[in-house]
Amino acid sequence: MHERAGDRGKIDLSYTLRGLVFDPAIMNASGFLCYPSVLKRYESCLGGLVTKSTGIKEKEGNETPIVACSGQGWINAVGLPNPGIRGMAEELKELYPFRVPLILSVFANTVEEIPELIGRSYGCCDAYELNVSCPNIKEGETTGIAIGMDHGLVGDFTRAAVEQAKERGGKPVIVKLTPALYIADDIRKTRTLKTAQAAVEAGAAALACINTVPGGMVIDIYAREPVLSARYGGMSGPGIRPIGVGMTYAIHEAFPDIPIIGCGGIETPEHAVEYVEAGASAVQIGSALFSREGTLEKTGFIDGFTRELAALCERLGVAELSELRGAAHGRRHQARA
Amino acid sequence: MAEGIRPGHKEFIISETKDIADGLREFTFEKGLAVEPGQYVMAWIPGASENPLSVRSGYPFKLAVKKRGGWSEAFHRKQTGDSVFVRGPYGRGFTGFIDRYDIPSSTPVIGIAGGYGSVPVLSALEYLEANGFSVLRAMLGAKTRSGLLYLEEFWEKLQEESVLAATEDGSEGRQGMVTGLFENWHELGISGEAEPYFLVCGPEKMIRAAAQEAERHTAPERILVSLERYMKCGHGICGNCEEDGLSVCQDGPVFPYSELAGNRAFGIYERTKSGRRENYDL
Repeated sequence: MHERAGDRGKIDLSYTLRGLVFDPAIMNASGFLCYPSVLKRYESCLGGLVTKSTGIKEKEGNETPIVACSGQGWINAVGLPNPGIRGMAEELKELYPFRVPLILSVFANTVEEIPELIGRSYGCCDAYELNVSCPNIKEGETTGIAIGMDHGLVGDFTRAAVEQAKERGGKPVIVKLTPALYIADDIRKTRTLKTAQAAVEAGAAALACINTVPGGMVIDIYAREPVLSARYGGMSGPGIRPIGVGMTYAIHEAFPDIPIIGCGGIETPEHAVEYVEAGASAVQIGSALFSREGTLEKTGFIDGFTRELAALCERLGVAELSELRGAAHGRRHQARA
Repeated sequence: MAEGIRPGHKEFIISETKDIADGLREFTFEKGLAVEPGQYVMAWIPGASENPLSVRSGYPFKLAVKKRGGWSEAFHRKQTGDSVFVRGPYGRGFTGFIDRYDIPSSTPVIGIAGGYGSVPVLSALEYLEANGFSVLRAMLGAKTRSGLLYLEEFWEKLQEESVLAATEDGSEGRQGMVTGLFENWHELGISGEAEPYFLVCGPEKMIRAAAQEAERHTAPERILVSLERYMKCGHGICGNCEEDGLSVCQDGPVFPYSELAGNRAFGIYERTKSGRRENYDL
């Protein structure tokens, strides 16, 4: 444990994924903060940084409004704007390496796009997050959630990314999953587990669980219009946390060895521990940053969050956050025995 | 208010429209809005998108819109009785910096505005005048006379001799850029002992040049610059408005010049709709 802002005494909040140390095991969720110059301002409080999802070519994204508050969180239809892999890599190269692991989030329409995505950026990131779950795609687009709904495609894209990374030295590929299958799944969570398994068998180093819940809408009753220009958007924030926790729990129950990064509605350290006890090894925070205004408040929030997480671990009687991993699964097994 | 909730748009009905100059139209609304001069709102025209707008005044609530594309054209089609949906106000404005400390009202305040920058600068000077500040000046710049927005209002509030103008074509005032007006500094009658405040708004390269000049007359903490960026969310999330990592939408739009020392974006680049960095014209 090294001394950093948000000092938490003797509690170990770190997580190491294939040699990458996330200390604390708290990252931003992709789509928040986004650009390398912004992420740099958070490298002293977050334990990991995730970029905006980047594709092969420049993309403008959707017309505004792109976000709306739902009262229980947010909906967004940002639409994957990004400068393209060349632009993003150029920015990263100016600042890389960061003080903590830098994860480049990428999305692709075909597996043929993967080599260029990885090839142009391999030297300026520490890991990849494969976005096979963004719901804000247009009709006919074959990226994001269009991949994530099909476990075969998840396997194909993961395999392609893992192979490209392996060729160049083996930086980890994290696969970010959609909750859409899980929400409509059967009691045994068949499709959810099939998708997780496909990613794992294809070489994913970890699963990020979950991306936004698709299909959210906020209507302005005075304008008599949906607020988002795209009308529908992905839901995030406290309202979706039980879905994220449930899916994490289901995947961990079936695949206890697979690292999971919990994401979705985390506002407090208790929420983070909820994900960890469900089976997560690290967490991502996004929407909680919406309501903290300004860089100082946002970074201050993360520092406070980290301190309180350490205090919570102490109250729970553990010296390491990792001791709590999967802890919500133990009693059921004991009861059955 | 529950943690995490941010209010959405509120409906504002237009009570009056007035053409100012150069494609700029001022809209007055039936309801007022508590705004600090220099703050902005996100104005939504359903069906046309939402965009940030510097606020002209709060009571009455007024927005000034320059016609230059789809959204502003849709705005200009709105007439008295029509609605616009507004969220905000957001950001750090001009006058909060002055209000926060017990700045004597004899402190000189000089507004420097290029083009559309007149809107927040005039708004701030009007506020200060109403609050007893007695040494107010303005330096305005534009390509041509019609671009000196609210020139008559500046003359009325500050008296003509306190307003210096510069136009690139020489059609009003000094010929050249607004920073050239610093050569007429003595005309403004500001004591050498004074520690004036500067309120600067306009194209970013102009701001940077003006701030550098202003530094010869006061400390950089007292030079307040209002930056403009393409903003998509207004919540410091999407990163489109970032200024070397700072959010113009929340950390700004007004920054003390001292806070921008070493900033890798200031006067250098901004981001397009895709987030790609684009350098300002040289």
